[in-house]
Amino acid sequence: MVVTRVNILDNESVRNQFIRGVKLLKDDILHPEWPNTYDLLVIWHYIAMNTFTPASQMVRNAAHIGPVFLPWHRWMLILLERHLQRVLNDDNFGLPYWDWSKDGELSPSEQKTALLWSDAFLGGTGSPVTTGPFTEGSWKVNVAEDIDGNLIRTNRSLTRNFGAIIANLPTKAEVRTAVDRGQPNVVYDTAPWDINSISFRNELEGWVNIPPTRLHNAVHVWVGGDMLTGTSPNDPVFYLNHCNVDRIWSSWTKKYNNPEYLPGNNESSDLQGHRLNDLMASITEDDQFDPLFRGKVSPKDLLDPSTRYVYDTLEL
Amino acid sequence: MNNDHNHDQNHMDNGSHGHDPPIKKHNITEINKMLNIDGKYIMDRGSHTHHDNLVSIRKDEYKGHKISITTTYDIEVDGKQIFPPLHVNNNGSVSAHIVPNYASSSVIELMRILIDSFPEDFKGGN
Repeated sequence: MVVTRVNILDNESVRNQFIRGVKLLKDDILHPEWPNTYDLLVIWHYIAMNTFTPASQMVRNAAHIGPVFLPWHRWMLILLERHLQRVLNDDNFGLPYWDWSKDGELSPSEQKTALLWSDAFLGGTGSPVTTGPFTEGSWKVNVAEDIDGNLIRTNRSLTRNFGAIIANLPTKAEVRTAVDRGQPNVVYDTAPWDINSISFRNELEGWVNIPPTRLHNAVHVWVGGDMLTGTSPNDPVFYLNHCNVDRIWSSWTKKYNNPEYLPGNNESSDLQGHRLNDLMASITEDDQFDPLFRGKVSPKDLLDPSTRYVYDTLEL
Repeated sequence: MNNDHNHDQNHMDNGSHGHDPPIKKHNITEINKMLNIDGKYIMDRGSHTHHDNLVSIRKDEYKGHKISITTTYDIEVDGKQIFPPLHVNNNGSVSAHIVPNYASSSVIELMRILIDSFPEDFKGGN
């Protein structure tokens, strides 16, 4: 079934389903010796982020700062969507996205009080967050990262710190620049395949012309708090951000008529996990967690998601 | 149903590149057990040590010349040495993968971000 992903601000039903669904996943146990399904996704993200590719360096990892950034997160979103459909008992449910560049057109103070942060949506800022559906008693952060990069057990409330490090969300002009930058030679990614690449992937991830931090990265940093570390999926807004990133990738793909994914299979083994046919970093092959791919999927498998979902609009 | 959930592994092997070195594998049951018993899951980072975190090497080639620049940090907070994994990017900005979406032109600014982001590691202060 092909589902439609919509702007969370435009559809009250989808908004409510998303909030109810992620809470249900906090109580969803696939196996008795496993963490709940929501936290399992958090741990998967942390593990991928701390798996360096290659292991001899500590910059490019199995999900970020390299070509696989976009397909790996597309996989994560597809699995979250599938689990939400299961716990909501609704195969028509499609993930919502947050078009943060629209909020980026507001003044810095208006951005902090935009509709997304109202009580009926995701609640506001604070350490801990004290408004909306993810306050103390309604949402617990169970796993986090420490300064040594270890995964630690915790039992605390969600934290956010809007605009504390950077004052503004990305603007529509910045998004359009990222999508248009490739003309006339559209390049998905290029050597050195990392934070220094001049490519669409690196631009959308947010590393081109830094500092200041940009685009996808800037959304993490603007929200702050739990969105700053490797366990950033602890905040459900993580998925709204990445769904919009995925939408921008889809828009770019359509605009340039399916540009080639790079690197290809003949590139160096230093890029293992990033090349077109490489298996991406999984957390398990268990078919209850991953009924779609059983933990074995490559970037090539996800370049055309149109048999699974479409976006209500690719206008940026 | 797949019943091998006690033997889950983080597969990064590649069917078309069977000669590639294996990448560290992980087991959900083991991770969950360590979190519940020890309160912590320590990532195996191979030969990387704490001190490696503070050494960043940039490499470049220009007109056939090979450039290598090694930057070493010595950082203390409240008199205690700490080892955040820092990396100097080719444009001179500095990032740390524990705050994976951020890079700064100032290590002082980056340290302020780390103190804000890891309150359990920086208790006290005001």
